[in-house]
Amino acid sequence: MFRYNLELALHGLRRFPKSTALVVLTVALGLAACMTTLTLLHVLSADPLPGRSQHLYLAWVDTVLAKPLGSGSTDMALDGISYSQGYERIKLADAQALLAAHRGVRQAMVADMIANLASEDGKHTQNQQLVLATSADFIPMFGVPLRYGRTWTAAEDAARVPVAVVDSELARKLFGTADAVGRGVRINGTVFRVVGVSTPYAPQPRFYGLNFGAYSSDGGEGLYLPYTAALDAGLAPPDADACDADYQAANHGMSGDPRHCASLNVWVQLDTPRQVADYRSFLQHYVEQQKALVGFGKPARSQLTSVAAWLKRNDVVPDSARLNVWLAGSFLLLCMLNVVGLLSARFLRRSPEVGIRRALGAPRRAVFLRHVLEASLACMLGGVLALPLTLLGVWILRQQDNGFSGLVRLDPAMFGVLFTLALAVGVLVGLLPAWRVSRVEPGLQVKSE
Amino acid sequence: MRHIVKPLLRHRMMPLLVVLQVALACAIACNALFLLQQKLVPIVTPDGVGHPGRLIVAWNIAPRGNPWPPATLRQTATELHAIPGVVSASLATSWPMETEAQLNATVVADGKGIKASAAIYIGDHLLDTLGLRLLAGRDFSAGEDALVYKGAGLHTDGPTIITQALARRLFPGGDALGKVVRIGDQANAARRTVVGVVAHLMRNEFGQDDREDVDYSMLFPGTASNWPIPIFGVRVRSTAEAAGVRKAMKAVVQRELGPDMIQGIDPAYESYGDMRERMLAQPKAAVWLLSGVSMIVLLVTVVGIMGLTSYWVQQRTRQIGVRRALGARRGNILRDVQLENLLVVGAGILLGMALAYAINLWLMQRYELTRLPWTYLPYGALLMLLLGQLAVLSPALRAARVPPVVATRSV
Repeated sequence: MFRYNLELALHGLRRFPKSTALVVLTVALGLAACMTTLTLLHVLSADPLPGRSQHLYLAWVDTVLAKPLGSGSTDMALDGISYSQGYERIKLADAQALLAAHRGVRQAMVADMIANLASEDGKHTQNQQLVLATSADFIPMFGVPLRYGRTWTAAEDAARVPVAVVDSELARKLFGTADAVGRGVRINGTVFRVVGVSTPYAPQPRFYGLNFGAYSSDGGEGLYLPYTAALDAGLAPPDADACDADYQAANHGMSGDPRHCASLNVWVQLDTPRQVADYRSFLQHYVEQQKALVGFGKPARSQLTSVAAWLKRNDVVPDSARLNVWLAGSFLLLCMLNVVGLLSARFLRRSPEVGIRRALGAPRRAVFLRHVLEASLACMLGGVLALPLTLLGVWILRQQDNGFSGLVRLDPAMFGVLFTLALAVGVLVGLLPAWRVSRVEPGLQVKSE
Repeated sequence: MRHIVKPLLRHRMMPLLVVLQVALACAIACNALFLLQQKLVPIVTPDGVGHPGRLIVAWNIAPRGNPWPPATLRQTATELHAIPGVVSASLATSWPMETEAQLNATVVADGKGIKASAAIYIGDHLLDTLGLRLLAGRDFSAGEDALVYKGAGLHTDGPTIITQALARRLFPGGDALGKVVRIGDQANAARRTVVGVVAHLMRNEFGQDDREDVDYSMLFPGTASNWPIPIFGVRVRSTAEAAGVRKAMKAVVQRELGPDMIQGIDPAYESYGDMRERMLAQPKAAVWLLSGVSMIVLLVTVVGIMGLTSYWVQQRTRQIGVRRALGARRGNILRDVQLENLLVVGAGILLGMALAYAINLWLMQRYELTRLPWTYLPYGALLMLLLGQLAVLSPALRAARVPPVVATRSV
């Protein structure tokens, strides 16, 4: 029976090729618009580290020795390298205290810095390279995949040993080979000994370093250094959230000196809700113990932020991406309405034929089913045509230079979404016209012929 | 009229589908065009800068530790001015089409209390270097330009040059020259006397491209102290000399300031035209996208109306034949089909306007968009009516061609 219905539906599609083409094209346009914007949103709102990010939290305590910033009617926005919105970084002493407390499963200090690199022999250089100054736990905690060698230890952190983990791409640029264990990277005269090589690691969005752009089509840091040795080598974060008042009075510029300014992040791994609650009270207790803060007139503030909340707070997914999905969604709705009209007209034109079928004994259900099938077939065809159109849309998106568009590509999940969407559209669009045509009275049609 | 409305009510599905389509298309098109217009603002508004190819800007100059003292920066600017081919050189805190540093303030017309949000550019010889067109008043004097402020200069009294748009906003219907603008709304806010009015100068804030006040800018003369990221601009005599000047400029800045720059952050030396291109690339891409979407939405709707109406006409071929046989002219039939379309599309538009407004309200809540101006609605309505008529033309002509004899055929 289904085969028979299928044959009838195919026959129906072939009978008016022009109107079929119009239906298929309209559906394809609607689906392609929707898929293109959904693909973009899918890429932007993906979990940066599946399986790990749920357990990572950003710890913050306000220990800056200054009055809280007021908001006046004159404002100066100095975003040397686009600030993230929140005031979320902390000073060196606090970061070290939090690391030393070992209250989380793992904890790491994280700060992006910019440096000019050279191979030890000075033959190859890499200027303005983004470097991650961090502590021993970062690599196991964030799941940086090591290819050769090892990561550094907490003991090396404490001993301020200049070691480094480099990614294979940067290793090739600096040393001409991926296996760079034992080579040296020179920064400001200090030679950092490479102890490990990782495969390129760039979670999207790069949630632990939003200051330097959330999405980077061309990878992430490439070089990981112990923060102690990096500070010794004269590196520092280029900016800070706030600085101690007396330091700020003496130094007017943008400074990221972590000894006086809040310019470091501390991420903590906490596996159970119990651990999260404990850590939260530990942080608050820590701030309340800070005697030096008395007199600056601020409440004791601390915060523990999950990765998801952190991304949301920083508006990492641009509004325009969501807005485009709404726009495309309503366009798809319009296309569907259009197709409902086209199909109704097409089915009802066939009323005499349906009348005869009904008179010959075809039940309403069969007529209804056959027409829904025909509508679904047309929409599936539209889905197939939507695929190249979506690829075209994605290609157009990739041409736009806004940091993240280079990442946009179709993955298998999105193919699944497209298939499901096309099928759903087909059935939905077919329901009304099919119902309408199944109401055709057998007698009347035969009479008027 | 009755013979048009009645069939519509009897066979509700087809007209209803048209109404829904028009309503949805109207809602989408109104909102898309509104977004489009917002993106267009910075692209079509004149930025006031003359000969963008002859203006070269050095920016992203970041000091290690303390900012450079004003004397060092001034010295650098003087050397830049000495480069052969340079007509004018400026040292400034912020620059049009560059968002690294922004100075914005709520400014108040003294005495009148009218407020506006304006961008402030502080620097010397900015009128000449930017190539602004002075409409009234004077440029800053050499003495005013030589001033060195204690801080940025926002809290110091003095002269100012403002744009015509800002002058009209703050002092409606009056001459702005000689009037005082207060920088900030506190009681002790600095007082700036307007000495000149320029035609245009775009502000360098692009967060919200929908601002009507994109041309509200002020110039302060002088040099700011303790300013962490200074910007140098030089105007070149001719475009041909630009490349050479750019190279010389780089050499001067590197020699004077290079040793104290943050390692790893390199200054940019760009022509103003290139800076503008870069800043406007994204709004331009959005404009293409939105106009494409609007076109396709309207196209799909026209095709939809056409398909439905031609079926609707075909179904009534016999009735039309009867009417023709009873004496209706072709023109009557044509007009009836068109009138019918007008009614149906009109209903769709009314629904669509309500929908467009509801969507806009919702978007305002979620995405901080501004309110859809009422003026959009009549334009949108007119556009949809015209498109409706265009779509119905071919089916209506076909209906008018139905010969009276059809009425007798199948009886």
